[in-house]
Amino acid sequence: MQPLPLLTTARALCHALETGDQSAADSLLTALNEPRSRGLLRQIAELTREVHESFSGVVSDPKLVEITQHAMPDARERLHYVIVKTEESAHRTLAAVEEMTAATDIMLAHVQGLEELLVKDQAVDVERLQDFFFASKSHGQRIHSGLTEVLMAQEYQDLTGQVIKRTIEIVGELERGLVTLITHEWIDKASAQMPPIDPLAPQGPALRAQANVVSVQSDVDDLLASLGV
Amino acid sequence: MKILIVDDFSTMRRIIKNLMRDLGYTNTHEADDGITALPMLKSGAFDFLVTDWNMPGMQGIDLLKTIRADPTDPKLAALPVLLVTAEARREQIISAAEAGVNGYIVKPFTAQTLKEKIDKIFERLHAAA
Repeated sequence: MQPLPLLTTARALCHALETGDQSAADSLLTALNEPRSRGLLRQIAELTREVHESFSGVVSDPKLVEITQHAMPDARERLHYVIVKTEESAHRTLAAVEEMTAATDIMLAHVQGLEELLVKDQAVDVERLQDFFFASKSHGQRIHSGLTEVLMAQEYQDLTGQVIKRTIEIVGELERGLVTLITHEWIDKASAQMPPIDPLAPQGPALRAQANVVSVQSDVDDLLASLGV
Repeated sequence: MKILIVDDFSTMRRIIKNLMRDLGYTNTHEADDGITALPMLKSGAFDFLVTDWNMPGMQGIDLLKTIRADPTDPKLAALPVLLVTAEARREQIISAAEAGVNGYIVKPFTAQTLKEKIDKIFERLHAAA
């Protein structure tokens, strides 16, 4: 039976070392290592290719490309639209309220003036009454168109609601794309390194009931009363 | 009664301004954050401050702490302050109380709540005076 090349080489190496032939021992050692180095290099090459392929896979994933190039700027634009639209509607409503408040104040002053006149004179001044009716109708119309304006200004709810819905979808798509990129181990490491939450940092409106967040004004009042405010 | 309303949203300033007018307070002025409010408060002889918490630049809580700590102007240091904010964590309310806030309203709020809190603040100040 033909001895294995490895065994032959090993025996030759032993012989070279025993006889003190250093140069032969060196070349035999290299010959022994060579297949292993080749295997290691092959493995490294394989890994490199895998990493390269997964990264080019990320970049060419049409969904992620779409999200970063179009959906994210689109989401920003949509959210900006919500700010503009809601501000516009609030001002539109407030302008109508200011107008109607003024009309109501004038109307009330007219009613009071007429009442004083009737009580004092105990007689109906027809001309004064006609003026009063005319003014009342005119102010009533002002209030009515103001209320219509308030009604119409509420359209922002429908429009911004749709826009926010779409933005939530985009964020969801991005989240799913990112989750496929990140292993659970990385997520665990990342969350372990998250800085502690500052309890005094502004949070904005409470979107749902949470422990340690007051939900009604009376809770705030109770808490402040317990602190002597 | 000269009042400063501080909020980064112009709509909220407008709502508060209109509610204050209905309550008979017509001398109202506006600022959009603590940084613009502070010089107004220092030079403007205001009697009352209504402020939001969460604003860019200087936040309402920092504005409150800054005026309370002002050693040069005792009137400003004692200015009654009402926070009107969406911030509703217990720690935040406690922190505002410790900083010397006179009233705290969480958004969304009602005209009635605003009236009650303002009435309460001035009743207390008159009782203390």
